Amino acid sequence: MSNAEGPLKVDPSTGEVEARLVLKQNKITRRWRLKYDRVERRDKIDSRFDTRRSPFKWRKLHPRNIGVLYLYAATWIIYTAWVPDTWLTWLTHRSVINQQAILIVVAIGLIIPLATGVFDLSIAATMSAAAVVVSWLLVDRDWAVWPAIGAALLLGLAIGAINAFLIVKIRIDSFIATLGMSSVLTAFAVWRSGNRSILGMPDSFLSLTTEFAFGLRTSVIIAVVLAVIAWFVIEHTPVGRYFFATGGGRDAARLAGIHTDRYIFAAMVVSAFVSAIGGILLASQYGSTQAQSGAPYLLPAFAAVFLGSTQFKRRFNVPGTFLSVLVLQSGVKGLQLAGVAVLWVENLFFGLALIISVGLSTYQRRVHGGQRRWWRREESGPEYLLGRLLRWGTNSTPETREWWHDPADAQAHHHRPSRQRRKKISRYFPRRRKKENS
Amino acid sequence: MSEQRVITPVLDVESLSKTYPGQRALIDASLQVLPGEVHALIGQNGSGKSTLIKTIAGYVKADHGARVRFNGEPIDLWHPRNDQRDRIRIVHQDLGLVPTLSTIENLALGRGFDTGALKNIRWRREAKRCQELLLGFGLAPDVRSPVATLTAAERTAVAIVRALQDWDDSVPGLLILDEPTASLNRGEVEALFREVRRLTERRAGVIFVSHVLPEVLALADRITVLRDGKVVAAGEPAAQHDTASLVRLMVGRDIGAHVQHDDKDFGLNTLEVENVFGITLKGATFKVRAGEVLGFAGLVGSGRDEIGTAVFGATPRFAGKVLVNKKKVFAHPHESVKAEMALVPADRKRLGLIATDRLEEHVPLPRLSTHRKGPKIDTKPLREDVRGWVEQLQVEPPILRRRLEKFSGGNQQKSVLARWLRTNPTILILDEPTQGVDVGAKAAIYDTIDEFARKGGAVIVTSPDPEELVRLCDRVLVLRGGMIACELSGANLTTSRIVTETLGATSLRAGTRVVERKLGFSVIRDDAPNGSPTTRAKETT
Repeated sequence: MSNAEGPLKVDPSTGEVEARLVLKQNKITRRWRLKYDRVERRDKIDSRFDTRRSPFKWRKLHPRNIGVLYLYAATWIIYTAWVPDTWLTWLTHRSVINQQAILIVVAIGLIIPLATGVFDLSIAATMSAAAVVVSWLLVDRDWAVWPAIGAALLLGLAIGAINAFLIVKIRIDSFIATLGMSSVLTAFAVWRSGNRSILGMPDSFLSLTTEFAFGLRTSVIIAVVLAVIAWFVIEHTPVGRYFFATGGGRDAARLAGIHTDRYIFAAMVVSAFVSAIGGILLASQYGSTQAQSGAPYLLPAFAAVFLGSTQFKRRFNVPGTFLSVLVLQSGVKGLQLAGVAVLWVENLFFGLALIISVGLSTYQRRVHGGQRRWWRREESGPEYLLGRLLRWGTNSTPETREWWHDPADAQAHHHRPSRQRRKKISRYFPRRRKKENS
Repeated sequence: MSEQRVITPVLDVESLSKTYPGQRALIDASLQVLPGEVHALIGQNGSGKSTLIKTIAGYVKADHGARVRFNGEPIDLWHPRNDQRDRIRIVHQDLGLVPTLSTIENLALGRGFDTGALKNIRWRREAKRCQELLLGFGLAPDVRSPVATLTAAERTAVAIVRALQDWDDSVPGLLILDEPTASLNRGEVEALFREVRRLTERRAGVIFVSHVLPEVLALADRITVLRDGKVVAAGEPAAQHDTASLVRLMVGRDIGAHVQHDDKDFGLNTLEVENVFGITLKGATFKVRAGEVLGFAGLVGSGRDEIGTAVFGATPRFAGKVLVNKKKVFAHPHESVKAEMALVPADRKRLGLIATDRLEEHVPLPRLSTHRKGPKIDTKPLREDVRGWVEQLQVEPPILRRRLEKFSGGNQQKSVLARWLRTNPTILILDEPTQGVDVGAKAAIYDTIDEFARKGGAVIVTSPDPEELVRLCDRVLVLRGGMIACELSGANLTTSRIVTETLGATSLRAGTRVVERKLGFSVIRDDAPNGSPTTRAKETT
């Protein structure tokens, strides 16, 4: 397959190629493609304009796009073979879904500040604080259920507002501000709980997250509803675009007339509020609250959001996060079923997922960001490769003469290529032979 | 061992070219610096001065074919193991100091500290050495405090001292001074000149780059003038020249105003800027009428690079008012956008666009309200709308899903223009609209601006390139030292006038504040016979 339709006209003096860019709309994929056609404009072919897709035709099915689904399939195959008795039961997957509901809630809250370009490390501490507040009010203060929940949610809003104030007004780096805030919140939670488990919450509170159908808990519904709302806001409303614009370049977004400070404020408040919801679900689902009960959710939430950001959109998105949580939890669950070291496997899993996903996305950007993949580069095109093999064709008569071809010029340079290298060079760049009989 | 004494130049550069993608910054430049001479290098912005200096300093690799000799020996300036590197010292325009480190630490950066028996730094001895070095400039700053806390003059002195320390006299060396006098007052300039003279007595060659022509004439022995990447005067003795002849060499052909500028009938005042103060801006008052293109010229630091963002509210505005159609606009980009203003910033990569955005997200960002379905963005009609704008401005290739970082500079700029024209503004502010843009895209951008003005929009253009201003503008205000120095229009609007006025070559020295300043009062000088700009402004209102 060549870049050009028909023969290319090559100007022998300059090496320029006469070509014209023609746009065609591909009816099937509705993607704009470029083809070189007919002679109109003299232009060097810019390989960046070559938008041939990778050999993998269905780009949507590419592992880079939906790798998490392949991972999920792999876990199914592995565990079906390994522990078929326990893996192939509804009970297993039910418990995975029930366990991940709270993680999904927290992760979805986290997507928004990350999209806006600020970190919120205080989500776990906010969860603990909200859980402690709601259970303390219910148990020690004998509050009714809904006022207690309302108080915990208000606490979430207040935490978000303080975080946002520190970041936007005082201009502390979000990482530091929320790290400090999380320590302060942990202190609050320890103080309020007296560093003991708070037990004995009323049934009306515990029944908020009872099973409703197929053994699924109500928290699953809440997680799904929140996910749908977040997905709609992020993908389909102007607000979502403003979040991403702020995250992409704060100054550029400000100059485009966006109140970036307000969106950062909103993002922090939303994430703290959603974390508070997570904390309440946590208290209700487990029936006992400690000062540190939210802490184990911090790293998995980050791992899920970053792994999700490598899926579908190449930026933070809700479906990717949702699936990542499912896959990571299934992997952990399967290992637990197989009886592999129960205690540390979860930490290992989520830590690796975070490192690999972030590493993958930066690696892709670094290595392939500015360049073409090798199969899309011009010098890897069949005509070039064939020309090299046959020493005939496009590449065999180079117009560029390197400095080492001119002995007078070589003195200005420090070194000459080695013998082997010179041989190799002269194979691809042969010295011009003198014309015979003329 | 010949009897005849031949002077070998310290630096002998021949047939030096540098090609950047899309443009040739230097074409066959040559430069000879003799030992013991001050060689001035002058030229307009974009003439290739800084490229030449960067090439000599080894930061930029020249095109193949350049011949460089240092003290008679051919060297490869760009080879990492270049043993002559220490013989070429450079003081950058931005000085290249680390602002958080102290003077002592900055001076020790390249050379290392003086240490005692336990490899401990001998701070007292170091401090004494630094103070002695700086006293040569008649300055006694606190050498232990961070460089950021020093005054501009002191910082310059530190940078020069750093370049001169441990100067080895055995072989002639080369010192490059890139606009060192920009923030110095007269006494400090004289101290600098003294130091430079002392250095040339030790047979060093000095390349002196400056925009201030009187200084060039006072200090330099020979002058090389660059224009459009070519050397137009190679090493001519300074005694043969005066400011007027140098300006003529720098500008070359004198481009005058287009005929179309004269018979234009402008509408009412659209934008009124009253006495705006910014970081470098010290009271700017001007008006732009509908259909008019107003240009701003000036050197770096004259307020030219700030005026667009200050009017738009992107950089802080410490005083003054901006009125659009007689309505006051609060200093925030959001308010400016609401008041139908648009800003195409100079720093396109950082401020103009979000590099990872797709074209279809970038273009509609400032105004998403046009295509709404309830709370939802109505994606399909929006995409069609964007496609229309992309096609109108000929962004190539018009692939809406392509990320902006993959477009060329010209197409990025066109997409930024498309984004703002889509908001249907009445005032368009363009900061250096063709910076980093290839020739074809440049013409397209000029046409777009002309078209916008013809339809009754008011345009502000700032540019370091006088030709661009003459091509685009109906009127040009020249900024100097943060203030509007003069207004050029009609027959006065020529490239040489713009250059002369920006340099202040007639009377003012950039950097020295000769003109009295008071809050709410800015000096406007106009040599045009038909009255001052203030009276003209009154006529129009």
